[in-house]
Amino acid sequence: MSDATSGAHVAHHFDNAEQQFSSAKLGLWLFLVTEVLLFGGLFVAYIMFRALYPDMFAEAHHHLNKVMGGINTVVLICSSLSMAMAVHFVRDNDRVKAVKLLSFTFLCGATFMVIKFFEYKEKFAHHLFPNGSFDYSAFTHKNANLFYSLYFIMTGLHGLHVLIGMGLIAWVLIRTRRNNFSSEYYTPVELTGLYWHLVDLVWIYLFPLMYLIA
Amino acid sequence: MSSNKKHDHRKTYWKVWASLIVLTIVTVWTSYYDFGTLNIVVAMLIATTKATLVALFFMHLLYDSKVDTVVFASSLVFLAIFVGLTASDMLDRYVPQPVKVAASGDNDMGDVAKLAKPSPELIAQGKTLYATNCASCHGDSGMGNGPAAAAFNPKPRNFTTGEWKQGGKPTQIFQTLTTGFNSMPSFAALPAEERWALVHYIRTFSPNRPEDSAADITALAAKSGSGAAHIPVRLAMELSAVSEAQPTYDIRKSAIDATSEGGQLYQTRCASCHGDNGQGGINVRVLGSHPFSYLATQSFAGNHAAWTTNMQEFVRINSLGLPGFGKPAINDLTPAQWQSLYNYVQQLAGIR
Ligand code: HEC
Ligand code: HEC
Repeated sequence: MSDATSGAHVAHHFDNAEQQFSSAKLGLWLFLVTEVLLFGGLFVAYIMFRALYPDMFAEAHHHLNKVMGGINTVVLICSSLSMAMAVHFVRDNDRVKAVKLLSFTFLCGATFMVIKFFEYKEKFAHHLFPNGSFDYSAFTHKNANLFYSLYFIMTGLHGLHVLIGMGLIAWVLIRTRRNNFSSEYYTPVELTGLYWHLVDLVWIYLFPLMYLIA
Repeated sequence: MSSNKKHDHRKTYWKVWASLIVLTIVTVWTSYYDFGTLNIVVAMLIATTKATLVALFFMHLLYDSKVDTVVFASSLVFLAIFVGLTASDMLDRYVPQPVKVAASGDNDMGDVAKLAKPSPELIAQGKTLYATNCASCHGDSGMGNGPAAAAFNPKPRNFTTGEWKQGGKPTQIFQTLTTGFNSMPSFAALPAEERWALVHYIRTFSPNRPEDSAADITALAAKSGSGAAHIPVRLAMELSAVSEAQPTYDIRKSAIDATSEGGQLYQTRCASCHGDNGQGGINVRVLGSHPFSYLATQSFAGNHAAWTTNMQEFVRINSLGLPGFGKPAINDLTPAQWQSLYNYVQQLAGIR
């Protein structure tokens, strides 16, 4: 246990750096709770509509690309590993490795978004975006647009989280290179890591629910 | 601060990563096989295992202060409440299950040669029918701006623009009404004459009124079938035949006064669908369904729905109707009439 003398600035309302660190972390966990509930609302909508129209969901999801979705799942899992490793090396004062791993994580996020971009592009090309030009004739069920509304809003919100996560990773990456962090103080890296893992966690559910329903 | 937990988890991270990859492969692989409802169960079990691994190891919940775990778990509790309450509402809702019937009786077109020509009587009849059947979507003055219009894409047609996607000749509109068109429901449930009346009435909104040629009329008349419309009804009766024995009404019947105001209202407004004694079992055509489907009304007796003891609910059900399921919305009764109708229906249901 170390205190204010060793690098980190401890605000006056904390006893020591450790207490400050766990408070920051608790704060982030509280934020993650609100995130779970934010996505939760959409998952509830998904569950209810799926219970109402199981056949429509089964039919509509066939237009999603399992391979692309699967690759993206793997990409996010790898990025979660490299993020966890990056936190480890920051804490271990191994700046070079940490920077490499953070860069890798960032690239994974970018890869995810590029693949997502091509998926969206294909959906737009086939008129599967639920606006005025939605192609109802591609489905036997009249309300297939509902599935696509859920698909776009849920993966869209998730994609937004990926982008924000990438921004945070870029920020801690720069700060790591500037040697701002050490085993004594690495709160931003740790918290960015938690946020990034939550983004992975949401996708872990989105992937089977959107792409793999039978 | 971290000096006391300088545990090196790198090996664990690699193991977790490998497990996540393997689980992803498994979940994709199982999705190619059909295990019925088991598919979703398996997929969710795998997803939850993966999520738990991520939370415990990558997110350090296993190593960290238990407070974090409690906080995170609380989100799952709230999520469960969220899902549970919503589901209990949704599952509680009254969703009638139509019976699908393969045969189609769409080709009863009435006396085409006569009805394809507008007459003041037909237009007047069409006006009344329009207000009950169409205005909710197409608006009182045919501008496509009824209260339900917002829900549609494409929007209900604004007849005053003169645009017809399916053609504006009377025979063409008649067919649109009969078969339905995208989200525009089929009105084949209405008798042919009423559909013709509607055709002529909505044409009065439009600046663009192409006329039928003699050939159009003969072509449609040629398609007009015999009494085919009766076949699906009989078929539907067989398909939806109620298996349990019908309750008998004889004992109560004498006590129930069908000549009361409520009784009169019931006999004129409800009996055609719910039966003279509320016994149900009558097939009501579901709107917009192709092929035809029918919904058999249920017996009022033995019903434990909220309306049986709650008049507000009764009035709500009847003033909303069941859009799309052929149950009309009733909005023209006075409170006293509602009361007497309710008393009467309660008697039929055996409550009073
Ligand atoms: C549930 C809402 C709804 C109701 C009720 C409804 N319509 Fe429609 N109607 C629509 C919609 C939506 C369209 C536009 C369909 C499209 O363009 O794809 C439409 C289009 C039409 C068209 C245009 C077809 C064409 O060729 O362009 C006619 C005619 C029509 N409706 C007549 C009627 C009549 C008559 C009634 C009453 C018996 C009625 N509608 C009731 C929703 C409704
Ligand atoms: C055009 C046919 C039709 C007419 C007319 C009609 N109904 Fe219905 N009604 C239905 C259908 C279809 C259902 C749904 C099936 C069912 O529950 O029986 C229904 C359901 C109901 C229910 C809910 C039954 C339940 O199981 O909870 C009540 C109550 C009811 N109707 C009362 C009335 C009354 C009172 C009138 C007369 C003012 C009336 N209905 C007129 C078709 C009709």
